[in-house]
Amino acid sequence: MFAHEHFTFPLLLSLQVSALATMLAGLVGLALGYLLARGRFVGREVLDVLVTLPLVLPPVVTGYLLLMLLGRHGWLGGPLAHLGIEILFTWKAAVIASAAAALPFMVKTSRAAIEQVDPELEATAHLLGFSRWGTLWHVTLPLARQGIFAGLVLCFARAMGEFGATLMLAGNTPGRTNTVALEIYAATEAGESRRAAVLVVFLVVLSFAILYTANRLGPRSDH
Amino acid sequence: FEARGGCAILLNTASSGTLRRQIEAGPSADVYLSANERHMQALVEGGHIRPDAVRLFACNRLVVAQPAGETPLALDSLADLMTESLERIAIGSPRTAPVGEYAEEALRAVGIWDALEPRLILAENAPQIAAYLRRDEVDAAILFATDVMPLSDSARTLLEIDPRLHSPIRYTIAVVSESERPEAAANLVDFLCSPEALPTLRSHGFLGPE
Repeated sequence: MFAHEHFTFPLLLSLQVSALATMLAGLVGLALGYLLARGRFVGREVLDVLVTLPLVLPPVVTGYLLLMLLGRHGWLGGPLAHLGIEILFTWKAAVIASAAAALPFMVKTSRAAIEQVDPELEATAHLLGFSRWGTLWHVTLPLARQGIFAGLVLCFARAMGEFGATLMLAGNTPGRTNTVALEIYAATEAGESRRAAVLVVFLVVLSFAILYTANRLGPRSDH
Repeated sequence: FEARGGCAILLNTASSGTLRRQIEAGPSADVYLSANERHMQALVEGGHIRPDAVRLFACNRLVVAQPAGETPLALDSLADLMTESLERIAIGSPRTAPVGEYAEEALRAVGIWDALEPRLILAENAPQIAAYLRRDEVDAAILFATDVMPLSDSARTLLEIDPRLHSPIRYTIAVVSESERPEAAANLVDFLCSPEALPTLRSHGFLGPE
C-alpha cells in the first residue's frame, strides 16, 4: 500500500510539478496580466478570452490541444524533437499541463491587481526618472503584490489538482509520471479504495499546510 | 432495434466499471453491457443481476498496430515487439483499463513484459491510444481490433495477437434485476444476441459469441 512508486513518489512528484508549474504559469501569467492591464492594442480583449479558455474547455480537450502542439509533429514539439528534447510522457509534460491549467488564474488575478494600481503613481515615477522597468519593479508590482500572490496560490492549488490534461500529455506511468491526482484515480478505478482514501488524506493535508502557510506569510493589508 | 418497432433506446456510455458503480448505487439502467466479465460478475454477486440473465454478446481480438506514417514493420509474433526500433509502445493502463489488462497478460505470456516495460506508455482507454496512433506519437500500440478499424487511414494493423495468450475478451449483456421495464429489456437483449445482430457486429470488427 505504501510502496514508493505508488505513494511517496506521486506525492513528491506532485509537489515538484506544482512548484515548477506555478513558477512557469506565474511568470507567463504575470507578463500577460501586465500586458492586458496596461497595454493598448487591437485584440486585447480577444487575448484575454484566449487565455481564459483552459478554464472553459474540458481538461481532456486542453490536453489534446497541447498534444497537438507538443507532439512529434506539433508546432513546438517537432522542432524540440529535432533538438532531442522529448516532452511528452515525461514529468515535463505534467508541468506544462498543470501550467496551462493554472495560467488563466494567474492572468486574471494579475490583470485585476495591476489595473487597481493608480496609473498616476506610475506616471509620477516616470517623471521622477524611473525607466519602464524601474517603474514596474519599484512601483507597480509592489502595489499589486496581494493580487499577484493570490494568483500564485491559486496556480499552485490548481496544479496540485490537475488531472485530465496531464493524463493525456504525460500518461499515468508508475514511477515516472503518476502524480497524486492520477494515482488516486488509478487506485479508485482498480478498486483499491483504502489506498485512494489515504492518498486523498495526504493530498489534502499537504495542500492545506502549504496553502495555509502561504496565506499567513503572504502580503496582507494589515501588515 | 428501434427501426423494427422495439422501444426507444437511451444509451448511457461510460467505462464498464463506472457503469457498474452506477447500477450498484441505484436503479439506473434496464440493460447492462459490459466489456469485462469481472464487472458483470460483481453485479451478479451483488444481487443486481440474476446469474441466468447473463448472456454472451460478442467477442473481440487484441491487435498490434502502428501509425500509418511509419515504415511498415514485419511482426511474426508478439515477441518481435522487442525490436530496437520501437521506442514507445502504447497500451492501456492495466490497473484501470481492460484493454490494458489483456495486453499485459499477453506480454507476460510471451515473457517480454519486464523488458518492455520502460518503453510502455500507459493510456487510460482505447480512444486515448487511438489518439496517440493518429498523431504518430508512439511507434506501436496494442489495442482491440475494433478500435483500429475506424482508424483505417491513420493506423495499420501489424499483427493479430494469439488469443491463447490472454483471457478471452468477452462482452456480456444482461437485464438488470431492478429494471422497471423487464419485458422490453429482455426483448432488446434477445435481439442483440440473435443472428440478426451478427452482421452489424462483424462490420465493426467484433466477433460473434462463438
